[in-house]
Amino acid sequence: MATSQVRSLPYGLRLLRSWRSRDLWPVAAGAVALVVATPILVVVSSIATPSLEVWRHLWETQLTELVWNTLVLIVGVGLGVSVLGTGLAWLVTMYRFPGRAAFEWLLILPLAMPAYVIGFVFLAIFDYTGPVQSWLRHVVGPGVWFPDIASSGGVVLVMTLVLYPYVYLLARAAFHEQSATTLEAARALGASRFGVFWKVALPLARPSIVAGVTLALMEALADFGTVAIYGFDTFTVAIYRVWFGLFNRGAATELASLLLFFTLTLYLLERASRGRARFTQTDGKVRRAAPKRLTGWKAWTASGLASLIVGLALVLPITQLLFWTLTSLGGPDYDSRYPAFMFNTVILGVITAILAVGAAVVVAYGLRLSRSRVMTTFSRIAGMGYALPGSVIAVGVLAPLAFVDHGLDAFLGATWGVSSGLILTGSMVGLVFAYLVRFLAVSCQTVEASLVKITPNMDMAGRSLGASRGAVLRRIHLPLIRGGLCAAAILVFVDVIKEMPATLLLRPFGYETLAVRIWQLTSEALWGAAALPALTIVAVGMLPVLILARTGARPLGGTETHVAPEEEARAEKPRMP
Amino acid sequence: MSLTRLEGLTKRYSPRDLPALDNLSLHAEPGEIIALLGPSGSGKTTVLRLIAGFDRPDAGVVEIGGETMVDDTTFVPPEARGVGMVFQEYALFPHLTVEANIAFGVQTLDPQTRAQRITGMLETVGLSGFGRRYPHELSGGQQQRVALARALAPRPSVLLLDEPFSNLDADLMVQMHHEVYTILRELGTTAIFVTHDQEEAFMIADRVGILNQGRLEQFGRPDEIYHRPATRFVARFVGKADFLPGRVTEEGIVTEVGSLRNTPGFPAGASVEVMVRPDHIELIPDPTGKAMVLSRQFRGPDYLVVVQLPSGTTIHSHQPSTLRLHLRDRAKVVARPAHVVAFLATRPWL
Repeated sequence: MATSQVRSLPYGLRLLRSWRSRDLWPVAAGAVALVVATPILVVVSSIATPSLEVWRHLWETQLTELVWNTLVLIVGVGLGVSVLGTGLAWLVTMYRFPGRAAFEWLLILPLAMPAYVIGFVFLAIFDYTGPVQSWLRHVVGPGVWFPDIASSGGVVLVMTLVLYPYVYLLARAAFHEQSATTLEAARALGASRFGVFWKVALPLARPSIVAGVTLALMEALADFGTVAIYGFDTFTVAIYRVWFGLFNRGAATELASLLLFFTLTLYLLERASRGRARFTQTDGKVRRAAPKRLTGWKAWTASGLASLIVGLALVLPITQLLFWTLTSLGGPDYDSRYPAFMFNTVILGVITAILAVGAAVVVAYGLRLSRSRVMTTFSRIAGMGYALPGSVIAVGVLAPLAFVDHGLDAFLGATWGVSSGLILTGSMVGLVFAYLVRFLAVSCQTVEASLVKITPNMDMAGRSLGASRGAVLRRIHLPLIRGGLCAAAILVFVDVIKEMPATLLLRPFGYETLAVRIWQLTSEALWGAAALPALTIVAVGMLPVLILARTGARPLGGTETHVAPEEEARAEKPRMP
Repeated sequence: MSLTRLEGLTKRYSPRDLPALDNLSLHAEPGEIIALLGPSGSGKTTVLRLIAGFDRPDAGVVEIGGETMVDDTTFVPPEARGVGMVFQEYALFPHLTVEANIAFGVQTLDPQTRAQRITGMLETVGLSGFGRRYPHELSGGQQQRVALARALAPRPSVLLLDEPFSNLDADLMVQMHHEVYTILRELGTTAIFVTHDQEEAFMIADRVGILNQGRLEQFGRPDEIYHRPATRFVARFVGKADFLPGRVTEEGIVTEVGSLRNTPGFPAGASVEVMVRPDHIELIPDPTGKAMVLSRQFRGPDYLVVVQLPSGTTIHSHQPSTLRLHLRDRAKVVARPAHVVAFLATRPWL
């Protein structure tokens, strides 16, 4: 807490004052947050300044279809992930059936699968020329009816299969936290097991479920790869098309702002529901409801259902990718440039991860030192990047960077008569910046979560022993949060590798990453050739799930472990017995 | 080691609230141990934070070792103040060994001196041979000693201790009171410690400051505080006290239990409240006595007896455990205060 006097000073004056006393942390943290928030603010401000001409053109050409498709996506995926996620969560928490412990884990793994990967695999398998339909025609004869996979239904199915784990994870955590007494009270009052679910458990878990659904929907809106190859035009596809096809940045920005509007609505909805979720959560010391053991056909139906989901979302695509990869190795489908693409991808991931963790340390430590309202606001805006589609961020990043580029070029031209060219927008700088904007929230949250566990007394002890703020960070905090820093770096790394639309829009000409390759190959239906890059991305994507498994004992912890409250309380303190 | 002085310290965390600290002044002589005693929220910890430099006062001066750390134009950051600090939770660095913890504040010494200093500190706190251990491998009392050694290693001008004993169980607490006292005396360190435990303050401190709602109510030797409380708050907070209504006359202060000498010198006719401690109330069993025994609690060495006077006022008294008084017995009450302490009545009595 700052003093009342200091608090009432205008921010600028306070900055000046902290500058004078060489108190640079809050300034640095504010600067990082501001830079990262700029692209977001650019797109947001374009909502407020619509270009009528562009809108009229968009309206005449494609706007109705875009909005309609987006609504279909929201409703379809929303319903899909709510039913699938909540149902599976209820199944694994409240019942015992063969393989339940394994399924509890396996059902999370589809989270590692980018929608565009499973999307193109399904397209390859279930399309008219794919093995399933070919086989059916072979057996039943030509003219056999099969649902068209390249349709809105197909897109919804694919996205539901990879995005339901958001709802599953949050709903499962919520069901775990529900006290047995509440549920038993309901049963004693005459409700059936289903009645308990419908009338008690579900309403109690609703905030968590809503939060999960909105997270899933934000991902769905951000998706580019799937909708593009399925020919299902949504905003991300349209942005890409007007950007590269028409070179119309203005229209791209307007489209981005409309997409942003949809996303922001979801974002606010999520924040609101999460706020309430926090209130309803108990402190985890409740007695849990005893799961019911299923027998006979019921047990096998439960196992079968879980197997079906794991099979569709995980086993089938991975098997198909493996098959393609193995048959293509050494064959004409194998691209000898694969190591180079791999290298390009890893370089981007590593650079961004390092920068994002560094920036997160600055912001998180700055926040720790002074929780002023301005700091908090900036960091909150900077954290919004994660909720925004990569295509929106690409649009937002380009405008300020192009401005700097032109300014720099003009300045150099005027003073030395040389041209700097497009030093920012034409290089990796722009791309890395976009990644930073999108993924800073990931690293910030992780770093902040580890920092919070260090009691402020540590800081005071260090300071009173003669260490400056920087020295306290270097000698006390960083060694203590090493694990958190690594986790943050890995999370950002994986997210960068998976990110498709921002990479497509901002990559330097000719710079190709795995995700870009997948897009290029799948848009030409070269499924086999796309398998190796896709498999690589899926394998890398498993990393965060494993981290989640190791560190996030809360959402993933086994149901059988019961920790005594004292032990748990002790474990929450940072290694202080 | 020299004077530590606080002058007119005022700190307000929020404009709506009362000040956390209101115009507080006190000083510690070199080598003196000062206790700040008060209920929670009285501002004790704020004083330490201001001395250490973790907060900046809205007004006032902090001088440590004769140097100005804070005034209207100066603000020396915590790391440059030469202040040692011991925390309630010890705040040992969990990733460093005991040695490295103690070495943290003496990085600038040359390696030989540093090694000597660390060995010396470990010896002082009785932990020789524990240098390579990690904090979590130590017991609570040992951690406390490491915290003390770490804070003392840089030879601070003043040592601040924030409720240093409240995490220990009763037996260990008594032992640590003694050890800490001995170590501080041995090294001649000026120390200011914060506590809400009056016995602890009286046992260790040379002088005690009583804080209430951010104001220093009294600052003095423990016996002064106990026998001559300056305010009603101090009288109540330090030890048990009853207040008897009294009227000042030419002869003295007339109360329900007899007359007392008007040593404070109140004007005749004034209404006052006289403080009486349970130790100073004598009960003489007497069937015709005016007081009646309301309750008695056996406490081992003595009884705590509550009697009611005809006016309804109740008084506490310590009586030997061989007491012959029973419930509803009548007794004569005699007050024999060591010093007469009285305050002008807030409303007229009698």
